[in-house]
Amino acid sequence: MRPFAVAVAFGVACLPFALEFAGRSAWTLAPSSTLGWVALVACAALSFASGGERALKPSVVLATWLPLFALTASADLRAGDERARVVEHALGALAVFAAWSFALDRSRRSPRGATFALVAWGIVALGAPLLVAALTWGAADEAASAGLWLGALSKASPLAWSYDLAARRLDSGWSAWPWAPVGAAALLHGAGSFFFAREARR
Amino acid sequence: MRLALVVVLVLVADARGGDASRLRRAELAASGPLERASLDLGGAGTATIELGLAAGETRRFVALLPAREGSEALAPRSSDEHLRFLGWTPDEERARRWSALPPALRLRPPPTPPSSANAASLAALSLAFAAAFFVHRLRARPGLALLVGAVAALGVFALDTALARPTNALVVYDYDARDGAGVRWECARDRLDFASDAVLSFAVEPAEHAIAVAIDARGDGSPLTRVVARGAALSRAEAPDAAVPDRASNRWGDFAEVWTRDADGAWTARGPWASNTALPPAVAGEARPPGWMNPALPQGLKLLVGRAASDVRGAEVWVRVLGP
Repeated sequence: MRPFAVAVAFGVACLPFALEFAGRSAWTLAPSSTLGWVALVACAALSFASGGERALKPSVVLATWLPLFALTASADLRAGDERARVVEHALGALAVFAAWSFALDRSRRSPRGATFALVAWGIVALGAPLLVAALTWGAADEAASAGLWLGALSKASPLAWSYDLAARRLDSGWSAWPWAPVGAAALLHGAGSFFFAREARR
Repeated sequence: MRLALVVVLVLVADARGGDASRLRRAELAASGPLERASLDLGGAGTATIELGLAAGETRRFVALLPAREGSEALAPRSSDEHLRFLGWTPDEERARRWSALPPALRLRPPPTPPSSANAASLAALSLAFAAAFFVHRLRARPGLALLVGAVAALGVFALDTALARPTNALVVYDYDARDGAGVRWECARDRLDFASDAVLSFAVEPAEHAIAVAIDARGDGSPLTRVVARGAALSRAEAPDAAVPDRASNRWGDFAEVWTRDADGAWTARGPWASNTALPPAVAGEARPPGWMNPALPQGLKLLVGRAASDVRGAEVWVRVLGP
């Protein structure tokens, strides 16, 4: 992960806090948990900005994000989440982030590393939620279920998150930002792709 | 024709205010070993119950579970076979007490709680950014960077937890002095904690929100209940624990500020009002109470609005008395 990508991802990840400071509820952006949002942004940034010679080492990337993970865990506790659930989310997010970071570090040493990252993220971001939608909506009459693991995997996708936000009916004056997760992922994808392309031209 | 319309409107309003509580008492049975289990109540929400039962221990108890109209026909799904849903407890007594309240008290919307105060502390956010910058400067020494990141994470968590502000809750005692009835509303945004199971009604706004109920049923006392619904206003109604403030002698408690409205609609500020004293004379100051405390109240009746001198767990306490 390159330093500039870290800075961009940090800015995007901190949007829920900026919303709260502006007097708006963070859930309009992060409906289920702030920790989930930050983990999502961090993993997206990692996927698209871990290549190249200037990439930071995985342990440095992890160290950079640890304080922000801690802050979001505290935010979820403050919002009323159970302690056990927050601990479960925090450890899960940390494990996935660390594993993803080290895997990308290994894969970028081969020519197919970047392609691998893009394909893997494509499966998580697009494949899982679309497959879940096909199974649950397409076979709704047969009461089909997507299965626990596939359902959980689809929750990690900005596409599924956008759906959750758009599905909220609001009368309270607050409005959700359904396109924000997709927008954030696209922004990080764009930043990462730009740097890949620039390094390739050199 | 006009009379018929009024009758229909009253009937519709009465049906709406009759029994719309989003929490209902249910009887549960648990057997150990069981640390915690959850119940799925479909569109009404979920309930997670902490039990802490050792092997061989059993417990039968009543808890408040999420409900919607018609949900009594459904049996919740339990995540663990050691926790069994025995059934909804008879609700007639609660419904009777709620229906016995004057329609004006039942049908008036619950008070609107203040905005959520869940913003992270600026100090913790600044520390997270400073730590990220410092870790970046240490990028040549990955081990040390990881150590600094972990320590900073602990510091950020401790700082943000220590500086967390209490929930922005609101308590409103709403009385109708014409028949001495009253209701105590406790309202908050996002989450509401309480220990009592004496709930007359529980409202969620927007009503479409499913709620997550966390119940701590360890120990022998009343289970501690936390209701969470992000972005929703949560309001719990119960019988008031204080007498109606009488203008001749205040038996309710100390007020920091009081306003009165005459039958002709004129407002008067009265300043502080100590307990066991008569209503003080008019004082200079803002003649009207905050607008949210007198929404669409009936005209032609006297009204008293007061803010209590002391808060309850950081929540402002307000009193509203209609009539006589």
